[in-house]
Amino acid sequence: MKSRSLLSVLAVGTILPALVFGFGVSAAQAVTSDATTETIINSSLEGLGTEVTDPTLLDELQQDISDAVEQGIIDPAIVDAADQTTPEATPAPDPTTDPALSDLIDENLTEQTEVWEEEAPAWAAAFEQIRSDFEACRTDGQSTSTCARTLGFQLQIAHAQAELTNLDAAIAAVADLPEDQQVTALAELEAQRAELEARLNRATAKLDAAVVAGIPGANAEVQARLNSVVGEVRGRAHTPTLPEQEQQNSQSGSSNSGSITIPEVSNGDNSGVSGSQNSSGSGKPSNPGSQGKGNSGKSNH
Amino acid sequence: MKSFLAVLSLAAICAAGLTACVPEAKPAVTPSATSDILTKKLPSDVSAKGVILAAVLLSTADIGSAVESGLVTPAEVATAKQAISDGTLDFWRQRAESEAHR
Repeated sequence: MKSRSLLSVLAVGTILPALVFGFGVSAAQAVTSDATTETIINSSLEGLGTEVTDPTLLDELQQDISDAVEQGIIDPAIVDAADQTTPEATPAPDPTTDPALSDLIDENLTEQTEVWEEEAPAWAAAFEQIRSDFEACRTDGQSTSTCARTLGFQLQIAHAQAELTNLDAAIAAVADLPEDQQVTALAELEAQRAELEARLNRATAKLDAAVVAGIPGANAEVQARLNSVVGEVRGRAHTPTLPEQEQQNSQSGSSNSGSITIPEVSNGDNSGVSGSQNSSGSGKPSNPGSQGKGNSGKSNH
Repeated sequence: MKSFLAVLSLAAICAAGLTACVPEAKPAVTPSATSDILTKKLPSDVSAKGVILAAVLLSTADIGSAVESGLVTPAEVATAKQAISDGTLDFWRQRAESEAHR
């Protein structure tokens, strides 16, 4: 594989894991008022040339946005700005210091549209893995929304498997990089793998809680499948073996699994890898073009 | 000849001026596109409400996390993105409001 293809694979591999669990939940988000959710909806749609006037639809959207806020999926800065923009807000926002809600929304839209352009194929592929279950759910008379929520964990599993495939492809492609860049690239891929494992661990905790709570779609079978993916991700820990090295090991009769020791890597960008991995655990993609400003500084939950 | 060149120059200036001054135009929404959105049978993984929700989430959220949580489907996000680009989101809103009462 050529370097360019590798960059593409690595870029996807960098971004994919970063979106598994999204943002953190701040204390301010624990309770979301109707006024705040309505402001979030109205301000977003106003910028897109429309407005929901029907109270029934607005109620449904508010419930969904409230859920999204509580799950930490909505940008906390936007929630805070919306909270301060509501008519009841006291004190009123200071336009000289508080970022304008409309600016934050514009930034987020630009950023997430770019992210989605890169992510869409992987998501579509993951959805195809659960399509038959989804169709069956719909045939049972359930709404699109209900089926999507019921099958959310299965979609996560399918997506994680796609990430793993991308990671494997990226590891295999490292051999095509110049030798002086390979160790750095492998270290970055190991950081990605570790990040994916951390996210899957959080997914496991969420799923376990959902099983206990009796949430539809959360069951022992799904737990087993998620555990299997987690096992696969863990199985790749510390063994980003280069194909050449594996061959040398087998020729020399080495019984070593082919693991290589990855030294600490300096922050200098000499890897030749696009969008070097952010291993800080921030969970955000490091590709500047995909990351943008709107969601920076958020923590995972 | 001279007057022909003058006319050409004037045309070029006008064209450049117009291009520079006119704001970025959204694609025209054709009646057929409108009709399609309001009446076509949707895929099983797309609802009009989901398209509107996806548009709000693209504007305010981490869209990948929103999909994973099951708030919206990948197809709804793709449709919302297209609708934003085409300037047809308001027709999806009309359909969603209509379907909210069924």
